[in-house]
Amino acid sequence: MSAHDPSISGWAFRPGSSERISARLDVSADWIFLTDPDDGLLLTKSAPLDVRLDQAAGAGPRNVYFADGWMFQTEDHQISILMQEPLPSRLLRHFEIFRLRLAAFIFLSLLSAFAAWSLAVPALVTVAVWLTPHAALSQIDKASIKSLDLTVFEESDLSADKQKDQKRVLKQLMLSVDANRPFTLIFREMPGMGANAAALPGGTIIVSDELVTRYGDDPTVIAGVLAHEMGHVVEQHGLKQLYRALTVYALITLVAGDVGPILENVLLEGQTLASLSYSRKHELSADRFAVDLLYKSGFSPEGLQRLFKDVEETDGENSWFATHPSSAERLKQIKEMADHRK
Amino acid sequence: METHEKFEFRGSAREWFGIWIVNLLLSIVTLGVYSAWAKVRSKKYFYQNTFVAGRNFDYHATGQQILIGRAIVVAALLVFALSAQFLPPLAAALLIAYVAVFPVLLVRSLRFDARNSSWSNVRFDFVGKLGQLYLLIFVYPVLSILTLYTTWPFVQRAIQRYGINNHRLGTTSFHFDSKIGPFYMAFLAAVGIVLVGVALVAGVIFGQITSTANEALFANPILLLNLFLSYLVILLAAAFASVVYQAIIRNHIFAHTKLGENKHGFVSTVKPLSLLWIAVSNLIVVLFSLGLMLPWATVRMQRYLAENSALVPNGSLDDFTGDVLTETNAIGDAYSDIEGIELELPV
Repeated sequence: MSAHDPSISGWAFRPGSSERISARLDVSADWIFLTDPDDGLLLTKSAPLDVRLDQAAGAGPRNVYFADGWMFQTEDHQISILMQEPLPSRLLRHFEIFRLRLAAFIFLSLLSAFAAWSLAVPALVTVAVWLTPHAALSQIDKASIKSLDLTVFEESDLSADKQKDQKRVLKQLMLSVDANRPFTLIFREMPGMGANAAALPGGTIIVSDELVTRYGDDPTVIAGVLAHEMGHVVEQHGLKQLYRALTVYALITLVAGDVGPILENVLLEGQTLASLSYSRKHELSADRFAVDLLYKSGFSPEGLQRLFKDVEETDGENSWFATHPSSAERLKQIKEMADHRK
Repeated sequence: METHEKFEFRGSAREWFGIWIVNLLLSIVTLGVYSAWAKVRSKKYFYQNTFVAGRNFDYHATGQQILIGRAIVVAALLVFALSAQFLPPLAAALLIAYVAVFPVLLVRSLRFDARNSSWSNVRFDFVGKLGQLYLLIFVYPVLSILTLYTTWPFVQRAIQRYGINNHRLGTTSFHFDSKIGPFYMAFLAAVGIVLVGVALVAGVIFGQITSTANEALFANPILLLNLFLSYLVILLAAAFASVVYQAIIRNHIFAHTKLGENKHGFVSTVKPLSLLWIAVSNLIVVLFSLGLMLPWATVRMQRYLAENSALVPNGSLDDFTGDVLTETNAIGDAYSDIEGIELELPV
């Protein structure tokens, strides 16, 4: 390096002091000097190897740290060349500059985000489901029932005999399920929800009073409904949806950074809402599980078919709200499976 | 005679976009490893471009520190998950241990962040005592619940006192204290907004709050739509309430915070409705651009907050001194990062 290198002007700070002194940085072969530009007095000097140029992000001021703790700050970006900044940190800044080639980065980002979405999320969800202890599942069940009882459900009006009949159907189905978790059946009045049933991740199945009053004397229908709900439990659909929502949120905040107020809430809570529309696949899968289980335990899938026909006639085509596949679609699948068995 | 030294954010959305998209790409292709360095670059960009009295802030942690901290936290969580699967009693013991050490990690995290931040060449520091934090986390909230949250503003004030009074710029300490009234005003404003949301749901939509993870055999479309709308309205009301609360409390806290024996003052002139407008319009723009406008939204928010903050110097700003501190342990930092827990300090 020659003695004619241009000097760089900026500000100097004593070690640990907030006082800003105007200063000049000069580089010679053996030393880097920091001097006061007014009187030319030497502030400090260090050997080039002991002087550190910080890693800046963006085009803001650059800091230079001397061995004895002095700091020099400048807006002059010639400092990068003068201090022979290593290639990797220059390269990173180079690529970050807003140019047309960033379009390629955007494309690559979207592509890899899509890959992460379709590969990493399901993988993480699978691991999380596998790691969830049974104790946690039954806790989820208890808490869910409590909050549902508080908000939408009412106590069941069914007689003890009626309840016992349905539980007998469940017991028969359980004989053919290769799952080491126990299922429990509970009854609730569900105002406004008609003949309905729901499954919780820990194996609790809730059926509405109306389902039992309408179909309680027909074990094939009840068996169909229960087998379907057992499918949700065994295949862990509810848990998967929950974890999916949490995983997506965690990945977004980890990779994209702080997203700011409101959006943060929408991402976390909205994910749970969005996961409702994901259950289409799960419904069809639970139906397939049900048909298999019904055959194994000596029930006919004809009960489930009859139920869907009923629903189709009373409700019509309601698939506009995409949470559930249409009854016709489900009916078709069950018929195909039944035909296949013959 | 009083001069206001306004905070100024000199970054631009264009420049931040470049840094952000490269961060994003490298984070994904390295399966998240680069995200530690990405965090450092993000913080550096926003700190280095924020100026007050012509001098900027800076962030000094390294990606390596953050990565090691994160790795240890992930390992600890994994050990917990595995023991929950195979050795439940150990998991229960671990859970109690983790909860018990949480304040230790939080103090470390606050200290790590403070010591790796600087203004005008002087590092910040955090000197909070652990015992007080245990009270803040485990005792005060319980007392507040016992009074049905009516004493929640007292908890909030205690948190702010703890957070601000234990921060130092070099060796110079910050001081904050205030009457309880303004905390109650902000609290009531927030509660009011949530109540409006609840009333809206109860009156217009018929209100029921859904529970996650249940699978109905048949979806009743009307019921589901109602549940969906109720949920959305409550969610938005709560988010609005939190933004308005932050704005009110930020102004109040800035006005009652002093720095050092000179009593340098602070002013925040954030308007709740403006902040709400920025947050809501940011949300819409980000959603409709599939997230690509997020850098623009972040810079917009940062600029608004900076423009509405000022330092009121009372004497020279050249007299701050501090040691050059190094804090090598980022475990606490990673923990609060991953769990998304923050002591809500309005800095």
